[in-house]
Amino acid sequence: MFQIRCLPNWLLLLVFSLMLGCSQNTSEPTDNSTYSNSTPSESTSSIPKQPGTSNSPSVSATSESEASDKPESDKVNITLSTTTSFFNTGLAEILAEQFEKETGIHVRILAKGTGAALREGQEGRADVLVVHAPPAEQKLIDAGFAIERTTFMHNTFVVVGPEDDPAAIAQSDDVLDAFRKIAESESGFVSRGDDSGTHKKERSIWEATSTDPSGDWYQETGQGMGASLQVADQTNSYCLSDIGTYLAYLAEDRIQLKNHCDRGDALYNPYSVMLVNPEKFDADRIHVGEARQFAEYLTRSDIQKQIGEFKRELFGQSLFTPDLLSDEQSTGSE
Amino acid sequence: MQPIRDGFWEVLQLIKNGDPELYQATFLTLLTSGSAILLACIIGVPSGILLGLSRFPGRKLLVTLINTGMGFPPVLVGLFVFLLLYRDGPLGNLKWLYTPAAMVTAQVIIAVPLVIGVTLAAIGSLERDWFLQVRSLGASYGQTLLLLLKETRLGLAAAMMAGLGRILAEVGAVMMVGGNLKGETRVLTTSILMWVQRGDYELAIALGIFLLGIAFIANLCLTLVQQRAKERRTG
Amino acid sequence: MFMEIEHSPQVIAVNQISFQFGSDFFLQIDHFQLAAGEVLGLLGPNGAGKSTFLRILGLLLKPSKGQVTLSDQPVNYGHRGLAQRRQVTTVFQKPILLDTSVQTNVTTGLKFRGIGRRQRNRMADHWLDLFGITHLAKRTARQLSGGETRRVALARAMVLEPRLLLLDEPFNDLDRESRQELQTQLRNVLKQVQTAVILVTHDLYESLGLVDRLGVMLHGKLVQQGSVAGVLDHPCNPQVASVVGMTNVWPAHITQKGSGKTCLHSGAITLNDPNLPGSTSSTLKIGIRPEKILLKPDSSASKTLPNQDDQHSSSKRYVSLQGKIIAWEPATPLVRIQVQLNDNYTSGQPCQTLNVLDFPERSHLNKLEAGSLVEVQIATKDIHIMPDFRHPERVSQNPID
Repeated sequence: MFQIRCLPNWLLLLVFSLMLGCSQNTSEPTDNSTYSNSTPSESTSSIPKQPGTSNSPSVSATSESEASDKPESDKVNITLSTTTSFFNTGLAEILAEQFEKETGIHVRILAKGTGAALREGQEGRADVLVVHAPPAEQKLIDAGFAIERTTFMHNTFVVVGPEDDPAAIAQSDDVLDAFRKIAESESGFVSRGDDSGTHKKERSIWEATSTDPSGDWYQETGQGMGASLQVADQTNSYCLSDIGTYLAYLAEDRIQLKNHCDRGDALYNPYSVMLVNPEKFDADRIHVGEARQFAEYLTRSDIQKQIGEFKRELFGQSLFTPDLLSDEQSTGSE
Repeated sequence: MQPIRDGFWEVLQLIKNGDPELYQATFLTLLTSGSAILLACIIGVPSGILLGLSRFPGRKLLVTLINTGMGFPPVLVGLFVFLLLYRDGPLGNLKWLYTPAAMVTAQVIIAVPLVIGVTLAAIGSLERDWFLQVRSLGASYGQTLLLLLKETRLGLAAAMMAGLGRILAEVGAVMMVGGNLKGETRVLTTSILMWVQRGDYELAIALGIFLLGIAFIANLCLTLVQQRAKERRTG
Repeated sequence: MFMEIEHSPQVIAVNQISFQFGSDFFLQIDHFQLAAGEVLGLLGPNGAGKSTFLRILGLLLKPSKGQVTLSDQPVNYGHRGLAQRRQVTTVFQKPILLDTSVQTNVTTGLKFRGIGRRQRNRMADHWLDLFGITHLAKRTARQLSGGETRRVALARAMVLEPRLLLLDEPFNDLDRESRQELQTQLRNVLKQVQTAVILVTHDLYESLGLVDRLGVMLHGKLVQQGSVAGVLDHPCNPQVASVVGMTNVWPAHITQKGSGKTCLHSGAITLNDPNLPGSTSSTLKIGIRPEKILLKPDSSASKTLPNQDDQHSSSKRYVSLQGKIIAWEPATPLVRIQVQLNDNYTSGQPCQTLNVLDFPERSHLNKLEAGSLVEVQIATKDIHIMPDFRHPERVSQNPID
């Protein structure tokens, strides 16, 4: 019979050291940028479907803390700072990989909330920005930190909610009406509350309805789209979401919310790419040439077509609509 | 380093202006952490005493489990509690998810192994024949227990400090099961994380300084009690 | 004093008790009892089971078999036996004081018994005074020296006014001065109370001033008990003899004289018509206490004195021997002298060497020193005859001792 006490001390100590080394990797997530869920297609579901944990994404997303701008010895790196909603669909990584294969330029992706993403550009830690918050983008341009803005794709926000639709918004004319109905019936509503593009959009809708939402029925999570959807799902509340994250979560069975309303101009969600202005920083700090290359890559017609077809097979609709296809090339999707 | 300097300035501003979000987050931090450490001690101290005094086959295994639990990744605890309280989960009908109850649950689970472990050490520091000696003085079981608590009070205070430290610092699990809902489950640690994500580092640092202040005051109180007890011993 | 209850004179008694731990047997004692006011010294080598026995008598350990009665009541070992347990107090070999002041330490036991604060302090002050440690009352236990700790432990026990007090090597680790002081204090204290006391000790001589009875334990058994003189002078076998300090033990054999008289021979010593112990068939040994040997300077004229008894002197019978001092060393308060006896034998046996404990004044008076020739005088009644019996050893060692 195997007796533990017969094992020599050195062997026990060796096992102990190895175990200790392994366990260091399971420490707190310092990677705040990827707090919402990673791309569903890339995550292996060893973790059960419903939880709101984060998997560290693969490829090139890094944590915010050590955003070094020095390029590696031979390769040129550019840093793309973008919002989680763009990143979470997986499109950012796919395009970045393709771009690297074609040009040899390595794209490091920082995915954060809109505010933080723009700040990266403002402080010279990114070369190119992709966000979906037009007012904030304009501010940055006016301040001279961003240049050459191009809106290259869009999608819509959707109002999702519990299946039984307690506020009966499925019948509403548009999103403004839906929001009014929700406020009147004081049905649960979960907001991101984090000054992200989505949140700003949500607030602008509330303003348009002349309602100031407050009360027990209105909850702010301060977190990313994935986490907020999760909360809405668990508490049977409504939520304004970008379509990409919503569909991804729905497909993976992480939520059971239904899309009750996607009508209304207010739900228009444009994504723009901007370059960080190299003149605001020390010479050679911003790799503006390579960044411009990437921006142009996004507007190229074959890439635009790719964007238009992104994940159509999976969801029955494409997650994004390209803006820069010429009419005969456009596939006229949603 | 500028954000840190700005942070120091900002925290003073927040305090001066009586910023409601700050105080809300602080109140929730104290509420959840306080409840959690109390519960953890109520569960952990008697367990530690019992484990420290008893001898049974498999005891070594249990002690090893406790020691492992002390260093257990809190996010895993958070995940476990999340799955427990999730709508379709075994305790889903409690509807505790995204409420302070869930946060306290996770914090208690995180702190209990630590409290048990340190209590065990305190019991272990007693002399071998301590119980025999007290029994020979004619103590009943209840009197023995009270005396035991008195004799190990320094060790028990250390257990409380260790557990409280761990609880106050917890962010991952608490974020996961609490949801960082403003005014309900948004505590100082989750606020810090949120503000970093949103890009407002100064505010995050300000909140961090405030949290450190709370932790410092709490530990100062316990340490003073401990020191006074020590002085009575050697003075 | 609190609660004077009418107690039976017999404080504690054990009957056919044994103690086993797993397959290891530690203790087996047939009968033992102690009366109020009696002080018993319990002697024995390490591993004899003294501490185990003490734990059983202290009601802290339940014997595997057998019965213990306290004041004629059978002992209850559960929580119902609390009142009984409170009549017995033990002071351990390494007393454990509580991490608090001396005053609190001493009053703790009283607090357990529900005695009010003022009375507690009064009683504590009384006993602290008796042990001369009143000045330590406010000091914390950690700051005490070894002797002070022991005194506090004793005060803490005595303040409870137990019916039975058990002391496990109370003078261990103390320097000579503290020992003597403590012994004196203890002696005075015990005179004042009716507590039955059992004192376990290694050092025979220091306990002699305190005890009325002696008990000797070997290999888990109580092999001899009786009055101090009885046990010291008449150990029942050579092992007990060595425990009680009878350091001169030699084999002896019997011869029959022609006239039908018996003779006992042991080296240079011969006894006529000895009082033999019951079983003459067993091998015998003799033993002589070192204090009972008288040394006189050798009256050189009488070198031809026969080494025999029958020397009469004021109706006492003596054995006279001759020898030479081969070692002389102080053994405060006495001196230890080794005397090598002259021996007419050529049987190849080594010469007998006597261990003698003598008063230094007497030695000086007789001008005895190493190398002196001496005449040895031993009263025949002081030559103790015992069967050469060895107690079987136990299966294993007692871990408590």
